[in-house]
Amino acid sequence: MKNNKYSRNYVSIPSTILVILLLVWVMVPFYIMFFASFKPNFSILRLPPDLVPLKDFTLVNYKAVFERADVFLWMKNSFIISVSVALATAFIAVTAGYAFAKIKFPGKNVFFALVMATLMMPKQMLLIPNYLVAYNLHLQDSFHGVILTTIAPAFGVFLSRQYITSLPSTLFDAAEIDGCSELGKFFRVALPLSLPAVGTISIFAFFTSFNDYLWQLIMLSNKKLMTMPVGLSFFGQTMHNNRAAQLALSSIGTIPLILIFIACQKFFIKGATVGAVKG
Amino acid sequence: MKKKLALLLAMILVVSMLGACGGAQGGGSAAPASSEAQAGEEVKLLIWHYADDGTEDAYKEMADAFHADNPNITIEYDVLPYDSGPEKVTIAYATNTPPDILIDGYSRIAPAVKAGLTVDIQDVIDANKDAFVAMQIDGKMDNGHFGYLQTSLSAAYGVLVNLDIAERCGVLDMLPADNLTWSWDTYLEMLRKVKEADPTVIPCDLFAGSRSSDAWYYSWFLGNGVPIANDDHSATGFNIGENRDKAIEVLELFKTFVDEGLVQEGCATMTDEQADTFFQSGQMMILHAGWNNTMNTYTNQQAGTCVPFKYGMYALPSKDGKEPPTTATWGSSGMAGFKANGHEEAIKTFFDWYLKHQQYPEKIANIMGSMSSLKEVKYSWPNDDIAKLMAIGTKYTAEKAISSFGILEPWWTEFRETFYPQMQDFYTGNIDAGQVLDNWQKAADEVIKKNTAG
Amino acid sequence: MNPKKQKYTPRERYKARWAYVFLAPWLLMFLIFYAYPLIYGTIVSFTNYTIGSMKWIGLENYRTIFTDYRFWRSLRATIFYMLIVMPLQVFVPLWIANTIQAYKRGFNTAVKLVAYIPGVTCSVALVLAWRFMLDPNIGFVTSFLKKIFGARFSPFNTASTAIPIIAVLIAFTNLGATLIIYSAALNAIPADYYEAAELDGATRWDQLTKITIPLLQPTIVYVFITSTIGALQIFVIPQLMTQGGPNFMTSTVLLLIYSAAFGDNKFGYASALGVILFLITAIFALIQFRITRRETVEY
Repeated sequence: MKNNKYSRNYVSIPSTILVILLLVWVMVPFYIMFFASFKPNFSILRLPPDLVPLKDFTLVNYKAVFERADVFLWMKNSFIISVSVALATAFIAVTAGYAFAKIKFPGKNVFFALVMATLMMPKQMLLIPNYLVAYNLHLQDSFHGVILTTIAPAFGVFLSRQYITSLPSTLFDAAEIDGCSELGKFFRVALPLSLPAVGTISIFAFFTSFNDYLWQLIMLSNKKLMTMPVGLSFFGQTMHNNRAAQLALSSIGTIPLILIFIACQKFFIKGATVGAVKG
Repeated sequence: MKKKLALLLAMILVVSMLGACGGAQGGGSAAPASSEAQAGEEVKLLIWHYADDGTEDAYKEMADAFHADNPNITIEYDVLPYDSGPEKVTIAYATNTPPDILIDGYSRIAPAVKAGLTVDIQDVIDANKDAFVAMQIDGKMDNGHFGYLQTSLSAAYGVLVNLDIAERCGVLDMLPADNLTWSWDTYLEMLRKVKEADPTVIPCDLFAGSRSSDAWYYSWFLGNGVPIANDDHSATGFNIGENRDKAIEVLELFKTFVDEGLVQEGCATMTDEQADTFFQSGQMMILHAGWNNTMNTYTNQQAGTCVPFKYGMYALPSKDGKEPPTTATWGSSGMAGFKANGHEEAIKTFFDWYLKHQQYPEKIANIMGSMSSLKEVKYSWPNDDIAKLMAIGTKYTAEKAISSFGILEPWWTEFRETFYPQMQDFYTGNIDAGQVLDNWQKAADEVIKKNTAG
Repeated sequence: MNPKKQKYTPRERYKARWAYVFLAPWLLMFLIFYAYPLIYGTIVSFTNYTIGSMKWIGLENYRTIFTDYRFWRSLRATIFYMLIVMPLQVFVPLWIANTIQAYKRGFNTAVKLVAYIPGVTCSVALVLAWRFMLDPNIGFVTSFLKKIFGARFSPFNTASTAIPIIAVLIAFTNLGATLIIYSAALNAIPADYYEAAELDGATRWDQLTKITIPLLQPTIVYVFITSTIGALQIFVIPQLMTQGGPNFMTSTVLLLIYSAAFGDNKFGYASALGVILFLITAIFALIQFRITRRETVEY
């Protein structure tokens, strides 16, 4: 790879050290979550909390998690919801983003203003009307209901519009000359080139819906549909506010998120290489 | 093209508006209850209750027993977490989509009772008058009928004391022998001694309060003879005449705690939960708490989620220390049945059955450590110490605890919001005790006026 | 906002019709799950909607809001938060993205992952961590500040210290999302641009300012606008740290909305606050669009 020679690829040692320091600071909560999950609850209640790794080591929290929490069910439910939301959001975002970025059509600015307006509306204000809509469409207490009401394409539309805008128009013109239909231009040119945006949008949508505690709590009542964040809240409570056990459960809950992240990461890179070849 | 677009948008707008109004009506008024529950028809009752460790099995047992007696009615439960569970309830109220029955504290049931969403259960209460220990104190609808079923009483407020710290700091003998009667001076002297004996210990908790943790402030005020509202609850009462001086005395006492470092730092913006942590980890001697925390602390220690230490429950001190002070309680918690799903008859059947089969509420009350308002409920406390403390607490609650200082008024939920900002300003030193009362009175009277006018 | 009168060739008219096909999925979602709630929320803001009743009261809610000191304090604090959070969220991730661009996938991914983790760590752990750092009794950051400002120093007692501390916490909790966006955009810049520039003797600084930043411009605009919107909707962390106190000095408008709706059951009033917050956000976003509107750079 010749790539390493370009100066955007220049390694700046001071910058790198600063970045690492910043990240160490950012990691404190994660560090606490992980190591405290191996301690008895009262040793993390103490202030300042006892954070020496492996001191008072115990597996009692994990034992409690596997005995008393439906981890696998909650995880599965969260995955069903979040994966669907991620895919749907990315699809809607890229189609609309493509239209906004590369097609001239009447009313474009009005529609785009609507996209921005949904982005700006405080979600907390909309909880009640949103629930009314869901209730009247009989969407409450079902996966498809949560999925439909969680898809929030506005940020994705904006992001993919910004991304696709910067793709060279010549590519699309060339495809057209080659006899590509409108659909073909989207599927053969726009979509492959915007994979980094698709990856980014899916990841955000995935994580956002994975952590969407309040809405999932409001929408889902049936215990069989309980999701990870809702389960976490119940679990801590029925364990006498046992924070260490909660931390153990959320440590377990973080592992799949990390795996998903790493899997999606490859997606970004792939999109980038396509772009580079074409450029 | 542009015209068409404008037309389209206009149509969308109109349709949405129409929809909005329809939705508003649906949300606003209670749906008429259909007359179901004719003999033989299957009814499913949905109950929401909060998740407490160990109660789930007891609830399930109750549902099974009820179903055996009433084969056409099935009970199902959904559990709520305390964290944001109230938000879910609020949305259900706002959109008139509640469950059939909600088991909750009175302060969260009251808005639904006041709004007329709940089933009138006066006939069930009349038929079961003997089932209760105390007379019902609240839960009245506009027509004076009961809109919810009271099941347990909230306990009196006091202080939970870590006796291990007290012993270590040599102040054990300063605590009142009867758990109830001691003076401000003794209390203050004790805190000072603790601070001197062990500077790493936080002698007492203090925080400015919030919407959910203000009861012990009212307790301190009531204990010094300061009413919160005036006699007919048409305005505030704490800033009138000699009440003002007594209220200032209480505030000055808190200020002494802060200035002498007898409480944790940062009390202006700290939450009760944060203060709790100090106590549970054995770093704080005194925690303001309801009497039922006697039992909660025991279960937490048993479950190993809290540092094990000996503890006792005491009343707040009174100024002269001659008799136990008046204290605040939140009234009661209970069950509200909702009209929205048209299951009125089945709900009443269940309430009636519940009052006649008190062995099931007994189990739940024992797990939760709450004081039942049902007569036949017997307690089986885990040990003699707790039994003794709970006996003292039950008697004290009956004699000295009041919940009629304003919490039953329609202005209450907004009223309590006016208090803690003043205390935050007080603890940061921005205003003095007199200003706290003046500011509070001004804000609170405005709220009362606004809420009683319409 | 009005599109200028544009002429469409038949070919363009055909394409424009396809634009609506591509927009259709978004439009459908928008109409059902956004337009309706938005309009509903706006209508409700003119009523006294509470549990069990809803009466039209015209502008009463708005009048109350503008005479309420809590609103003005929260608004001031909200803008104060935004002024700190927004630049941090625009530039710190850009700097990180640019720094780690040089590294191979392993380290690169690890940095992004680590930056993203606080966003997915459970709030129990976050609260524990912040207390560990910032508790006025035992936090290590607070002890350090006390050494500088004196033993009586309590960082959360005044807005001028509390807001910056909370703002930095917020900005660094949400680093990951922006970092990923910048990284994706950086990756998409064709490598030959840099190669060509280097052949022309451009310095690294030139390459950053003449290639990277101009080409990232749409992305930067996106981050600029979304982090402003996000910063105006700050809510959870002030609630956990100070409950908006002392006396609403560190509160935010969204915090007020939440407590009006779920504390006081005043849904109409909460909606009116929501509409005001929306308008404020819209004004900021419009200004930003104006500032950043330039010819789009293509490669």
